[in-house]
Amino acid sequence: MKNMMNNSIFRLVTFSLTCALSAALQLCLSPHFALAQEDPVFRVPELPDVDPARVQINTDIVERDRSAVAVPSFEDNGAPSSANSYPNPQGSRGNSGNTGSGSGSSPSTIFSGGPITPSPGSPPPNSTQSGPQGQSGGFDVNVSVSGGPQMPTLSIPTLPGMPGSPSSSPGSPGGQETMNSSSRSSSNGSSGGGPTNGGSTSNSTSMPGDVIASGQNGSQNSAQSGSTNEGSQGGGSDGSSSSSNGTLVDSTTNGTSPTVTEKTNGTTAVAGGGSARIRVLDARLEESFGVFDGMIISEREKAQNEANAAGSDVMGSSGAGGSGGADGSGDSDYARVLDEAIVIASSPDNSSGGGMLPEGAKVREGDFAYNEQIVANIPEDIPDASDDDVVARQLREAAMSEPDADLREKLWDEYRRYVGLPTKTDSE
Amino acid sequence: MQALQPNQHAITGLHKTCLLTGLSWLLLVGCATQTVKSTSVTPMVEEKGIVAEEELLDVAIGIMDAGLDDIPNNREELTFADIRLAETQFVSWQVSKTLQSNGSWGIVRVNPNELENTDVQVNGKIIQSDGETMVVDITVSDATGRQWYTKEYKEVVSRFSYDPRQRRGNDPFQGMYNRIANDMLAWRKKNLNNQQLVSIRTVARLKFAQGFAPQVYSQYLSTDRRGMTVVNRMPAANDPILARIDTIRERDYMFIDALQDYYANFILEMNAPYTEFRRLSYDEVMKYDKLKADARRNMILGAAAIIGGIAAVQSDNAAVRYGAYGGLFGGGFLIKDAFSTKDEAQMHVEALAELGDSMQAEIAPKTITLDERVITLTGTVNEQYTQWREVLADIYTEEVGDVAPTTRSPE
Repeated sequence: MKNMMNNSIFRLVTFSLTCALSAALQLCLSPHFALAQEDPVFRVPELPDVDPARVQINTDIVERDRSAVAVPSFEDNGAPSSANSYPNPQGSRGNSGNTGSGSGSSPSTIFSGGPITPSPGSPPPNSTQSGPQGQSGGFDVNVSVSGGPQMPTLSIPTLPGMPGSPSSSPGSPGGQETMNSSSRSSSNGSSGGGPTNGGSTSNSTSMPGDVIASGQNGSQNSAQSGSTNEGSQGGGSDGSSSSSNGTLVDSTTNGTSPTVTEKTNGTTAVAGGGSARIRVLDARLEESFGVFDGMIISEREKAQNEANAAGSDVMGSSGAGGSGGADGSGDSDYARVLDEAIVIASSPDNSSGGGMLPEGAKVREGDFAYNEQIVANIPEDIPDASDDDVVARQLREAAMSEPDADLREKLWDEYRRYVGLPTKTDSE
Repeated sequence: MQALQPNQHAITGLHKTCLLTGLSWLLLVGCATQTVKSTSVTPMVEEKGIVAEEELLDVAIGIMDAGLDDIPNNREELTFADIRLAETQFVSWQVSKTLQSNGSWGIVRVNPNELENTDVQVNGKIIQSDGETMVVDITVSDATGRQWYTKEYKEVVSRFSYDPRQRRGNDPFQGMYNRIANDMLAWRKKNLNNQQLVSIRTVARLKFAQGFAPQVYSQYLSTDRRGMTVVNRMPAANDPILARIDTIRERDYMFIDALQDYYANFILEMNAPYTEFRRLSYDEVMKYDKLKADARRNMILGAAAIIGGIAAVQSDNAAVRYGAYGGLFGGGFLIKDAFSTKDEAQMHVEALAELGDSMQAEIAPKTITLDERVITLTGTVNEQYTQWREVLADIYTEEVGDVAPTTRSPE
C-alpha cells in the first residue's frame, strides 16, 4: 500500500515536472522569446498597452517583386491616394494625415506619411509584409534600411511643420502606443571628409527605445539599400517606413556624400514608383558628381599651387646658379615643363577649371570647351622670341602677363627699347 | 728528316711572330666598334589631313617598366634603382608629350592604372639609360586586344645633345620619342581603316560601361576566336544608363587629368637635376667606356705580345730573340697599363656612383611622394566608382524591373 502511494506520488511529481518543462519549453519557443533572446538586431521597446506576445518582427529581407507592387501615387500634398495606400486600422497612429516627408513637390521622395492601404497580395516596393496586416490591437513596423555602408545618399531637408527632427524625438502626444524608431547608418570617410571617401566603414548607432536595424544595415550591400526592408508586425498600426511618428531614419554618409533623411509621421509607408526612385538615385549620382568634381578640382588646384611654388624654386635656383642653371637652361626648362603641365582638360560642363589645348589637338565632343584661354596680346611690331636674350625674354614675359593695359604698353616700350626697335612713344 | 738550317729557323720564328702579331691585330680590329653619334633629331611626322572626331583615338601611356631585372652585368654599376624608377615616369611623360604634340591622336595621357578601357595603350620597358644611350622596348595595342607592334628603340646621343643651344628646349633623346610617335602613326595609317578606328573607340566605350554596369553591357561585347573583343550590338543612342556612364567617364578623364598635374609637378621638379645628372653621367660613362675599351685592348695586346715573345724567344736568331724580349717586355707593360686603366675606369664608376647617390637622394623622396599621391587619389576615386556602380545597378534594377539579388542578413 505504501509502495502504491509512493508510486502514485512519484508519478504525480513526474507528471507535474513534465508539464512544467513543457510549459517552459513552449515559452522558450515562442516568437517573442526567440526575438528577445536570439535576434541581436531588433529590440522592441516595451509598449504598455500592447501585448508582447502579439509582437512579431519579421527579419526577412524580401526581394522586391515590382510586378506585383502597387505603387502608391502621390498627390500634390504629398499624401498617397487612398486607393494605393495602406490603411491604419486603428486610425490612431499619430498624425495619420498628410505630413509625409518630401511631399509631391519633391521628386526624390520615396517615403511618405499618411494612411496606407495594402493592395491585396502585393507588398509595396521596398517593404516587407510578414503576416496579416491591420490586425486589431497589433502594430506593424517595417524598418527600411536606407543608405548602405558605401552608398552616397541624398539628404532631403526636413520640411517645415513636420514633426520630428534628427535632434529630437518627440514621440507621440499623450504617450499613446508610439514607436520611436531611429536608425542611423553612417559611412565615415576614410580621409577626413574627402568627398569621395565614404563608405569605407559603416557605423550603426541606435537611440534608446529605437527599433534598430544595425546588423542588417551594416551587412547589406548598399546597392540594395533603400530597397530592403525589415518588417515587424503585431497589432496596432502599419508603419512601413524607416520611422514612425516623429522619428526618423537618417542615413548619413559623413563627409562624402549627401544624405537621405526620411522622416515620416504616424503611419508611413514606402511610396513612390520606379521613376521616383530613379530620380532619387539620379539625384544621388548628381550630388556625388558634384562632390567628386569638387574633389578633383581641389586636387588640381593644389597641384597647380605646388607647381607654382616649385616653379619659383626652380627660378630662384636658376638665378642663383643652382642646378637648374647649370647648363644655362634652368628657366627655359621651367617654362617648358610648365607648358607641358597644361594638359588637355576634359572636364564636364558643370565643373570649373580650365585647360589649354596643345597645338594641333582637335576639340572633340566631351572635351572641355574652354574658350577663354588667355591669349597674350602681342603687338604686331614685336618679333618672335627666338632672338631674345634673358633680359628681353623677361621683359616680354612681364609685358605678356601684365593685365593693366597702360603698364603693359610701357613694358612693351621697354622691350622695344632694349631690342632696338622704335618705341610707340618715339613714333608718336 | 732534313735538319733545318739556322737561317731557316730564324725565318720560321719570324714567320711565327708575324703571324701572331697579325692575328692579334685582326682580333683587335674585329673587336673594335664604331658608333656614329648625331645631334640631329628625327623629325616628327604629323597628320596632314583632318581626322574625324569619332576616329581620333585616345592614347594612354602606361608607366614604363624600370627593367631593373634585365640590366646587363656590365651596366649594373652604372644603374641606380631610384633614378631608374624616376625615369619610368619621365620617359612616359616624354612619350605622352610627343604624341600629344603631333595632333594625330585624341587625348594622350600618362595613366598608371588599368589601360584597357582606353583606345590605344602604350606600354614600355627601359632597357638602358645612362645619359649616353637610351634603349626602350615599346608595345602598342588597342582596346580590342589587337597588338600593334613591339619594337626596341635605341638612341645614342652625342655630347652636344646636352648643349642647351642644341637642344632647343627638347629632351636629348627627343629623336627617339619622335620615332615612337612616327611608328605609331604609320602603323595606324597602314593597318586600320576608318571603320576599325570607330570600332576601337566603341569597344573602349563599352568596356568602360561594362566595368560600371556589367549586368547591362556584358552582352554587348564578346571575344572572337582570335582573342579580340568585338561589338555584338550597339546600345540605343538614347540609352539612359550609357548616358550616365558617359558622364562618369568624363569624371574619369578629370581624374586622369589630375594625375597629369601630379606628373607635371614631378617632371618639373625632376627635370633640371635629372638633366644635369645625365650630362655629367654622359661624361663619366663615356670616359668609363673608353677606359674599359683601352684596358681590354691593352690586355689583349699585351697577352698577344707575351705569347709571341715566348714563342720567339727560343729562336736561334739573335734579332728574333731580341725582338721576342722586346715583345715580352712590351706585353708586360701593356698588361700593367691595362690594369692601371681599369683602375682609372673604376674611379669614374665611383664618381658616377657619387653622382647617382646624390641624385637618388634628391629624387627618391619625390618619387615616393608622387606614388603615394597617385595611389591615394586612385584609391579614393575607385571607392567612388564602386559606389557609382552600385547606384547604377540600382537604377538598372528600377528601370528594367528585374529582381535584384538581395543579401540576406544573418539571423
